[in-house]
Formats: sequence, structure tokens, C-alpha cells
Amino acid sequence: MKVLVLNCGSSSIKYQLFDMTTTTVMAKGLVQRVGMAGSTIDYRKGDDGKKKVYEFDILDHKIGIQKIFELLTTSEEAVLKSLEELGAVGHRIVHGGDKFSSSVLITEEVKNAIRDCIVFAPLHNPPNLKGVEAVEEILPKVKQVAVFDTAFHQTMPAEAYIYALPYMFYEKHRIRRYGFHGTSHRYVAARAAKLLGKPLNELKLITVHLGNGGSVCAINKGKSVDTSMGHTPLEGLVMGTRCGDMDPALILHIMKEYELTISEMDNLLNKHSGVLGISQISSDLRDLEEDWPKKSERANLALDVYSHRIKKYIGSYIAVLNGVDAIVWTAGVGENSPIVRSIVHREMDWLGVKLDLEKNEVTWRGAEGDITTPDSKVKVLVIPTNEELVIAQDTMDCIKN
Amino acid sequence: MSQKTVVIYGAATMGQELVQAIATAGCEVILVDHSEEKLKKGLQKVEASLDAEIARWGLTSGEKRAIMSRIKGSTDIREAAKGWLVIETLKETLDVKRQLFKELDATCKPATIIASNSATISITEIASECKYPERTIAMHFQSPTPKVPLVEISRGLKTSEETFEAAVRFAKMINKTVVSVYDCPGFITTRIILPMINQAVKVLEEGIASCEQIDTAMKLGFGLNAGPLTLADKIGVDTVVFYLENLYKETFDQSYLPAKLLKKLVRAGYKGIKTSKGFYRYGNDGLRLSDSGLKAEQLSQANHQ
Repeated sequence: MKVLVLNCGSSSIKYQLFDMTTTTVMAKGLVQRVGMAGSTIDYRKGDDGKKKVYEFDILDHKIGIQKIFELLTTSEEAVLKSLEELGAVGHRIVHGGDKFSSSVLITEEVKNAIRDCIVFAPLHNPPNLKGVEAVEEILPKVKQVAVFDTAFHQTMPAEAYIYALPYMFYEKHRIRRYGFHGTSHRYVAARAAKLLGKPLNELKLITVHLGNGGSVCAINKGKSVDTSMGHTPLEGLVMGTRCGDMDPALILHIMKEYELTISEMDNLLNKHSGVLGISQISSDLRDLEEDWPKKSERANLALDVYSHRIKKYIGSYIAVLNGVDAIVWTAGVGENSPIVRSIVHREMDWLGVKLDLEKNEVTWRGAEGDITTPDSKVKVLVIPTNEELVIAQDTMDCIKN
Repeated sequence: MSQKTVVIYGAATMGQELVQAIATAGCEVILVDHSEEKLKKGLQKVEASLDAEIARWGLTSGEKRAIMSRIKGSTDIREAAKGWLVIETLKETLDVKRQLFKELDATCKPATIIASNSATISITEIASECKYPERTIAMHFQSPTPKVPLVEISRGLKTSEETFEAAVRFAKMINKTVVSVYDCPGFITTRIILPMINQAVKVLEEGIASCEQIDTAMKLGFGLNAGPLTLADKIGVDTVVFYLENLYKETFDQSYLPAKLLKKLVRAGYKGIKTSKGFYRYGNDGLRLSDSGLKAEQLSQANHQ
């Protein structure tokens, strides 16, 4: 069976087509800068075929998905004769609230539940849903599966997920920490166990997922016990355009002082903050790292604030886990930014981390491995995430049942 | 029916705001105005308004780009045929609107819905020279349209049920709550707010209180976003007079007889924010200058300036 995996983010669409009879990638690619200047789609046949980049003006996710279907069926390197060959589509869905602790087949009811969660993930659930609906329009008969980012963190204990707010907010409105990037944290934890040559249920791991958004997860014996994102993906780390942790009183202060509406404040925190807000240069770390540390003072400051926040979380999760066997870096920035990794792990020897600067420099662009010196008590691993594979496997499982 | 392209006829303030609201909601929109200059200015204002949104963190530049790509302009009334819905936003006089409806009726396919943004004129009258009046309807949006989540819909005597349903669907698509009435000039909002503005002007005229005092009292006392005189400046003092006269003719209710000062202001060119002066004075950015309310000595001179 052929399974298409879609990951519709706020400004990108990742796609991968799997042949699940052999678990091989038939084609994959990425739509970038959706709704921005210079949007592109890249497409490669197979897992490591030559990448072809197409430039299209992609104004929204629906147009992006239409283009993906066109490339899969009608381009020079098309891998499908027609869309009818497609057995199922698996979607990464960011927020499933407490309704979903595992992946599910998408029905009207599931869609409504995802819609109900928009309020908790205003940047993510809408493009996720747009993806589901675009596929529905083009292929009304194909089965679709939702794989939730929140599901993996359902094992967190109450002390990690309860906010110190009046308890009725939890009881009546299920306001609590949910956590995100679960699929990725789950995958790299399992992969780390393989690399370390130990069973997952004997390991204490801290996984650092850094993409456009970012989160850290404390994993004890394969189970998530705490994570930095909260009820929404706004909490925790400094991100591309999101502020992460901050003094909540500032929200009231800024709204009052600048007479902002709720939607304006929402946009300020979600789209105008983070490294973009500090640097006023870009939300993309790559732009800030260019010529580092000579680019500009503000670019450096943004990188330092970004890295400092990660360091704080790693320290606190070592305390939560009472030790750690390995720290795992993954996703766009985690896999590809030796600069951020070096700033974070600078002066961490007391905690047992000794970075091998040379290994750190060369482990990127899809490379996997340990980047510490042989005498480092705690290992630091770089592991490319593979959420798509997990989603494809979950999709198969859901369809079989 | 494909609900892709909406046409807005008239590039003045309401036309601009509608274009912004509709394009922001994800629909394609064509702004039509017979005057090249007004059209150009109108489109520039839409862009400036989106920039202002970015400046107060309400929008990102990427989103703005997507919104602008959905907006087109034209001076050719035949472009109206490209829309499944045409909304007219011309000035509040029956002759002008009736004439345009006649032209739109002849230009557009019979299935196209033709809506008027009129607040105070009967849609039945506006559509009286149309061949297909069943596709006409009144949709009254409130300014600032991108922020006000309301649209009042009024059915004319000949408006079909399909037309009404399509108008409601469209309103929901652009995230507006619908309140509907039957062929009722003034709807609810305009009918109730006008006597308040009129009374506020009389209170000012009689020297009972200053502009600032009147607006502060009403704003704080009743939890309004803006006081009645600020509101008059926003709507346009001339438009307020059109509204009042239309509703007076319609109802013969004394509370719609325009206060003398309103007419004086209009004659003097004090038309509100759009002319930078009305009950208050405004800077180029449209923001009110401090301590700029009409003073007692100006009240008698407003018609000499």
C-alpha cells in the first residue's frame, strides 16, 4: 500500500510518499515559504534521489498540496500513474487535547475535535486541517489518519502537567500542559537507545527538538515525564517567531499600554516575537548564523537568548530525571546548528557533558552520531528525526484496525 | 455556485474596508470605481491599512502579501460580471444607487447577487428599476469593517430566499454575525444610533457640554467604544445628515430631523475624519489631535471657514 504523509506547518508542507509493502520512500519533498516571497517546492524521487526545486507562487496550503499531487503524478519523475494508487494519507496534527492518546482514522467527528483544539494551537491546527480538507476535496474516497503531537506526552505525571492556576480551569476546561512534537521525541528516543546499545527502558534521555518551533522533553524509560511546551506550542523555548516562557504579567501590561486587542496580542506573541522579535532580522536561525559572531550584536543576542533558554531546560530536566544518559538534538536547527549546540554545551562539564568541538562541527546535514569526547559521562547525540516514518507506520496500523 | 470572486463597487472608505475584510478572509476581490484616481487612492489606502495592522502586530508581512495578491482593481463596470456577488458602497442617495443597480443588473448574469451597503434607503426602491430584483439584497456593514463582526441583512419585497441564504453564507465565510430584517431602512444599528448622535449635537449646540465631555460621559457611562460625536466624525458628518434626512423622510419621526449644527458643519466642509476636521481635528494619520473639540466660539463660525 502507498501512504502519503503530510506535515502542514505554519509556513511549510513536508510530504513523503511511502511504499509500505517495502517501507521505502518513493518520493519526498518540502514546500517552503508558503505565503511568503520566493516560495518553492522541492521534490525528489526515492529517499536520496536528486533534488529538483520548483519555484511557484504558493499563497496557501491548498495550492501547495495541489502542486504536490501534480508533481507525484505528472512531473518528469512522477511515481504514481494516478492518485487512485494512493491507499491512505497520514497527517501530523499538532493538538489533540486530551481526546487522543494515540493515532486515529479521520472522521467528521475527529475533524470537529481537531477544530475544537484550534483555540489551543492557533498557528498549527488550522493548516493541519486545511491539509486534511484539501485532500478530501481532491480525493474524497481516500482514508486519512491523524497522528497527534500531543499523544506521546500523555504519560506525564500530574506534577508536570498541572498549572498553578485555580484548579477549576483543569477540571472544567482541561487546561493543562499537553506538550508537542511527541512523534519526534518518541522516534529519536528509540533511535538513541539503538545508538547507545541499551534498552530504552533503562535510559534517562533529554531530547531537544528544534525546528520552527522547539521543545525539550525529559524521557524516563521511554516515557515522557516532562516537556517544555505547554497547553499551547507557545510555552517553553525561544522559537523563530514565538516568545516561549515569559512573565505573564507582561501580557496584561503590553495590552493595556498599547491598547491591543486579543488578536493583536496573540499575533505579537506568536508571529512577531522569538529570534525574529529580538534580532529584527529573521525568524530563520540560518540568517542569524551567517558570519557568526560578526553579523551583528542583535543577531548574536538572539542566538544567545535562544541557546540560554535551552540550557536552562536541560539543567532542570537533569534534576527532574535525577541524572541523564544522553542529550539528543534533532529537527532542522538541532540537526544543523553546531553553533547553537556549542553555545548550549559550553561549560557543562560539571554536569558531565564534554563536547568534541570537531565532531560537533561535522555532524550536520543528515549526519547521525555522538558529538562528545570519549570521556564525556553524558553522551550528546545528533539524530535526524523521522516523524514521517512514524506517521506512515501509525497510518498503516489505524487502517488495518 | 462558485463563491470565489466578490466585486466591491465604490472605492471610498467603506469600499476600502470591505475589500480589506473580504481579502483577509481569503476571498478574491475586485474593487471597481469609475474614477481612476479614486480607485488608485482606494487601493493605496487598503495597503496602508494592512501596514498599520503589521505595525501593531496584527498581521505579518507574508500574510499581507497573500491578502494583496487577492485584490484587483478596475474602472470598468463590466468587471462586475466576474463576481458571484457585487456589493455597492456609493454615497447614501437613492438616485445614485438606483442608477448603479440598473447598470449592474444589465451587466451581470441573472444569477449574480447584487447587494447594497445602504444603511437608510429601502433596498426595494434601490432595485426598483432592475429586471431581476429577486437577486438584490441589502448588506449593511459597520465601519471599521475588518474589526466589526456584524452585518445587517435586509431583504427587499422581491428578494428571493436563495439570495438571502447566499448572503448569509457569505457573511459567515468572512466571519460576520448576521442580524436580518425585512426591507427596513436604518436596520437596527443606524436607526437607534442616529437619534443619539443628533441629541449629542443638540447638547453641544445648546452649550450644555463640550465635545470631549459629551463623548466621555457616553463612552464611560455606557461602556461604548466611542462617544457619539467621535462616531459622527468616523461615519462622516455629511453621511450622518444623509442618513437622518433619509430616515426622516421614511418615518416622519422628529428625532431624525438633523440638528442645525450638523448641516452647518457639512456646509463648512467639516465632514469628519475624512476631511481632517469635524467635531474634532485630526492629523494626517487619522488620529485625533488633543484638545481639538469644537469650541463654543467656533460653533457660530463653522459656516464662515
